[in-house]
Amino acid sequence: MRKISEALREVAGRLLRSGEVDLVLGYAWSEQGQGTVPYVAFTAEEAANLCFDTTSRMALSKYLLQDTFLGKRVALVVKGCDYRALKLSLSENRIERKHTYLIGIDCPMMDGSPFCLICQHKCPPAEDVDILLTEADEAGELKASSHQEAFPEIPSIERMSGDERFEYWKRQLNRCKRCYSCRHACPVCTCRQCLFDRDNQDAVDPAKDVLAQHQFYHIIRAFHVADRCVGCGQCAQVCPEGIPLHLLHQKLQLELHKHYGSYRAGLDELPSPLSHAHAHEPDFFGKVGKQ
Amino acid sequence: MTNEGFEPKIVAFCCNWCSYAGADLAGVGRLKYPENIRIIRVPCSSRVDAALVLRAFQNGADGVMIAGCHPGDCHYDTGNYHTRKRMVLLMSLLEFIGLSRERLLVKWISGNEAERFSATVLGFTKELRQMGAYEKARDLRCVR
Repeated sequence: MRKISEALREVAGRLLRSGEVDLVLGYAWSEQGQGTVPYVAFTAEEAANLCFDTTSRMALSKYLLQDTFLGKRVALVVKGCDYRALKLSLSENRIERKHTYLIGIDCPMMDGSPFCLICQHKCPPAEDVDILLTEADEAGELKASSHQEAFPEIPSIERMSGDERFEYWKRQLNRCKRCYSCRHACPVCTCRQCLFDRDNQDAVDPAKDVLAQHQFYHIIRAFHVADRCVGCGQCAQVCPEGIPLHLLHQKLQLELHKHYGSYRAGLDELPSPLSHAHAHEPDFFGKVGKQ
Repeated sequence: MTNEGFEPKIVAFCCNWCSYAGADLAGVGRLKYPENIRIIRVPCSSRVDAALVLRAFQNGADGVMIAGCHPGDCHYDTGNYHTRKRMVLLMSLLEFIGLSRERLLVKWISGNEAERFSATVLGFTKELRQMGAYEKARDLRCVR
């Protein structure tokens, strides 16, 4: 990733020196030496710390929604999936395009992410970003796996009996600590006030049984991002307990596609499938002739 | 597990304009339906979101029924289209996570279908009696 990193540092340095942007939001080496972490460069000197490699997973577009960045001119490093999430925020008028400078990156695929195996949009569209950085000499057609190859867990869970499935998810969800990392890392989970942050907690989530609580939280969260998921895989990646949360999202995506046709959040035209409904859609609850 | 003498609790979300009127008509017409049902009137069946259904299950319901106008008859034009879109996804997700989708019933019942209403409640109650109590998604506060 030397080429992208060098180009990134150069572009960021130029932007900051010329005062075109106030800050550059990108990645830098982690001090713990485990890949890269999000990094904000305010000066041209700091821009020298920026880099990009196959551990730069975090979606950065969500930072732009924070109050700290409001009204600032920000240069943002975007991968393909990140751009899709950004597009959603742009179309919801949460972010001003003219205040952002997009440094698009032709994503080289992250290490060990099943999502990157099925990713069809590694690179944000060149006409929509201000500058596009590629690792030109390494460009080779990457083999795209099928959904089943990338997520073999889904069919294997579907083959289980109801009780086995319940036990499986009980094992998984009971580890949940409700740290909300999945919510914070998700680039499309962007409500101004989350349902689970309301003052009257008891009103939304009254269960005292831990499992019932986690079932509730994870089902609701999967539902809220059902037609917004851009498939970045951050939810499972950041989970400190390694709960395969992405399976819930992928399962919902599969169902959505099966019933209502394919829709790719952040790429296809709005409205998204769950924000509109029509008479011609299939009725699974039986239209019985009226008496 | 023995289901002998077990009486299920059903929470029914009835849309104000059709199904609630249907239930009302069943009452006026002295049609008998099981008292296992607890009707909650909602402005439209699309008011019922995943959270309401899950909370009903957590708080002691053995079955949840969502009744709305027939497709095409919605008072708000498209409300029940949203309901069916959402509920079919919720059912798949419930099944995927190991909860049973049979305990969630979506039915279109119009204002003059009193018989259909009582037959639906009767049928659903029978099914739930067979299935037994729903312990999986239960909140521990509701010890019976």
